[in-house]
Amino acid sequence: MKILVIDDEKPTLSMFRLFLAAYGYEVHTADSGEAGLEVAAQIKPEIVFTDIRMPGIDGLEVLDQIRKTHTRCQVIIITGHGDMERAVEAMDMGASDFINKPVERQALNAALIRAENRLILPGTPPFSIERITAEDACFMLTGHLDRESGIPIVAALTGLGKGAEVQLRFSPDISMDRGGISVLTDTLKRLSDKGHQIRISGLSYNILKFFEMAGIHKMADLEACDPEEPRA
Amino acid sequence: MISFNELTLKNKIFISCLGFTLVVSFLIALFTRSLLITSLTNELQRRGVGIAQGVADSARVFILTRNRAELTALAYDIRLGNRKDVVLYAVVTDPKEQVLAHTFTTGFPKGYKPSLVAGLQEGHRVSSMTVGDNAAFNISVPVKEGIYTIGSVQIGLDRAHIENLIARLRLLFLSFLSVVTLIFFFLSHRLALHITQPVTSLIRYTDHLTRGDFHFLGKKDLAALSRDLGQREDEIATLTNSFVKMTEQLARSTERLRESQKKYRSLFRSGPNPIFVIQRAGFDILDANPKAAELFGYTRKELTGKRFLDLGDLENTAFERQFPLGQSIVISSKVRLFKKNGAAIFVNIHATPAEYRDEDAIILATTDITELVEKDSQLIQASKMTNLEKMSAGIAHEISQPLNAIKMGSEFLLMMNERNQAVKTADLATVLTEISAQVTRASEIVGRLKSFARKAEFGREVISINACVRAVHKIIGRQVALQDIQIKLCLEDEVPDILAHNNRMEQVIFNLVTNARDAINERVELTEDARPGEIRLTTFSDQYTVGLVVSDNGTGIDPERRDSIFDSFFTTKEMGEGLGLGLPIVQGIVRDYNGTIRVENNPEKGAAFTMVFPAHTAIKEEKANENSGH
Repeated sequence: MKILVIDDEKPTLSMFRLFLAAYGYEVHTADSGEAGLEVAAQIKPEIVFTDIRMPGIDGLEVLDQIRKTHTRCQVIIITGHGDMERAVEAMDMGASDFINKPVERQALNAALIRAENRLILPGTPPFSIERITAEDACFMLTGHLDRESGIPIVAALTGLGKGAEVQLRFSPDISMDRGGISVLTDTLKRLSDKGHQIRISGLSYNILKFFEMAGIHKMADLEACDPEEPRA
Repeated sequence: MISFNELTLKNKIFISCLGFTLVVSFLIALFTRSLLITSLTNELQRRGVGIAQGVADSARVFILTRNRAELTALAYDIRLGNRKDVVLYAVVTDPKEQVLAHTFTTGFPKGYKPSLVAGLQEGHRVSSMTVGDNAAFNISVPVKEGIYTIGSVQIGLDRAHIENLIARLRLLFLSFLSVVTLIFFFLSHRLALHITQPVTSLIRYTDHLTRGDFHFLGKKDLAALSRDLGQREDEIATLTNSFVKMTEQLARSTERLRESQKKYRSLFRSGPNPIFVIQRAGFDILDANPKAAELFGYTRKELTGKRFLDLGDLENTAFERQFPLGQSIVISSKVRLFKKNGAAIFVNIHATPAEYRDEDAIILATTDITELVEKDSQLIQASKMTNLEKMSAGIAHEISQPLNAIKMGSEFLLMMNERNQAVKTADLATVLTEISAQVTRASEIVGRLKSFARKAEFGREVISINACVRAVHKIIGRQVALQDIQIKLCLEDEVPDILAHNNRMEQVIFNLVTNARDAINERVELTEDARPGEIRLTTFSDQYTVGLVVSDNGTGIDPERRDSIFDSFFTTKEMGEGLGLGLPIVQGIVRDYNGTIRVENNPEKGAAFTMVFPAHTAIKEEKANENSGH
């Protein structure tokens, strides 16, 4: 599997190269957005890591271009601290994931696995929420959550008995954008205000970060899933 | 002998008057003598002639008849009455000088000789002769009958009598003159006193005045002086009045002078600012007020005699200039001086030329601006911190780059270790080299930030403006580049050094660069002009100055606002984005280094800030020249 890493930081590139090579990927690197797009056009990589802040063509533009030309390609955005806003923007634009700098192994692994999972799927699966057991308020969430597709959450989660514990399980392939997060946040807030205990499990490393940023960790117990090591 | 000029005025007047009186008296005496005596003698002679003619008229018949008895009777008649004293004798002769009658009772006295009748046809003849013991005027008058002279009458006038008369008159006259002289003597004495007495008092008063004693002449004395002169309206009165007025005026102005001295003394003593009086040459402190002693921690005695230049960072040149008279000029601002205990204080120094005990001096009034300087430096620091805060995201990004490489490298090694997998030597070398290099890089960033955030020391350093530009470029170059703005450094190779603070110069450049960046971003966001951003930092120099231009292709500066952009609290940014203290602080810093800053729009329609500083080397050379010149 071919991976392209675009970053204007040469040391970062060389570290990525070591890591990804150790995982068994075919690693290509480029030190600017312009060079990255050129390489991408040549080698048609399955996964692209791109730094979001670069002089010239930046990460968002790279994402935009690649989304347009190689639709199957999974783009993972590398962001720095304090760049969450742009990370969210990238998610809205269809990035499959983002990782924070300094890059942690766990995050990198989770991002790679998610990207690979999504590569296997034929397209973006529609969002669905299903109650697993009737006695417990336990729900399974799958697919891509955005503002419109989030409406069933409201429907499913309103009208639960008072004080009951609510469990949400996220499937590994779940993805969401800004609208989806805001719908989820609003609903969870209402539940929490009613006195429900909320537990969310199966969260990928990156979605966990997202939720922390959105303040969901204050209303619900968040449980991350342990990602295994990716293998190309 | 005392010459006339050495005499007192009184004696001059006295002697002059007296001398004049004496001369006039003498002249009158001479005149009288010549005129009076002659006319008196003539008068007497005329009387004698009259008497003789009277006799002649009566004697005519008796001569013709030769009646001697009648003639003798006639002759005796002359000597009758009071004429006896004047007429000594009377003789009647015929034409042949034969005496017909006479009054000599004791015969002709010795020396008497009847005068000739011949030649007496007309008038009479007077001749002097001595008759017996008496000197006499002999008057001959002819006796006429028709055209014939028939005889003569001769009478002798007693000269002694005449002279007696004259002597009496002379005596009378002399006593009159003496009385007049005496009166004049007295008058001139009085006159002299009249004129000189007030003058003498004036002299006495003036003596007092010159001794500075204004109190001898109380109001009473002045009043008395005026009263004495009350009746007078002459020049002396005018003079005295003028004198009195002058004295009053003098007393008043002396009083005023004393008051003003007291006032200035008290200003000097109790003024809130330290004041020094220093020598024009040598700059030795001649005097210092208590505040100066208090502020500097020296006693006044210790201060006097010290060189003012030894008090702190002062340059000779500041004092060696022409001071405009009557004006106080600032000769140095923000000068650092040291107290006795070594603590630094900052002052502005105003100087004004003066005289101090007949020496050329300079009065230096200093204003303690230590607090102001500290506040200033706090403000500058605060503004710098604000800048840093604004840059914090960028800085975090900067630091996260090396941290990322370190993190990934170490995580890689950790993972390989967990997997019990051997790391290739080359990979290991790469990772370790990279980790070490990135730690260095991170600590460099931290070091730069630390030095940038550091508060500047007061003492100025010799710095290179190029180095400052490079340092700032290192701090924000990458961050600016991430916003698609290129910083171009056009640095002249051998720019002279300047006297400033590295730290603050960096702040100035930093501020201007971030402003330029904001202006470019604004242009990109608000207009359709999407040219790539460019900030050009250009240094230039000549013998005496060093300059830096920070030029951008941003929105540029509205010409109407060009003058106000250096004003405090003027900002074009949104509320909350800027306090409007950036450029005023930049300007303040630039001015502190004796530099200037101005702004123009460049041909790319962006702004160009040009700063010019005096070159340090030029200052040094100038001094060297000056020293060799002396």
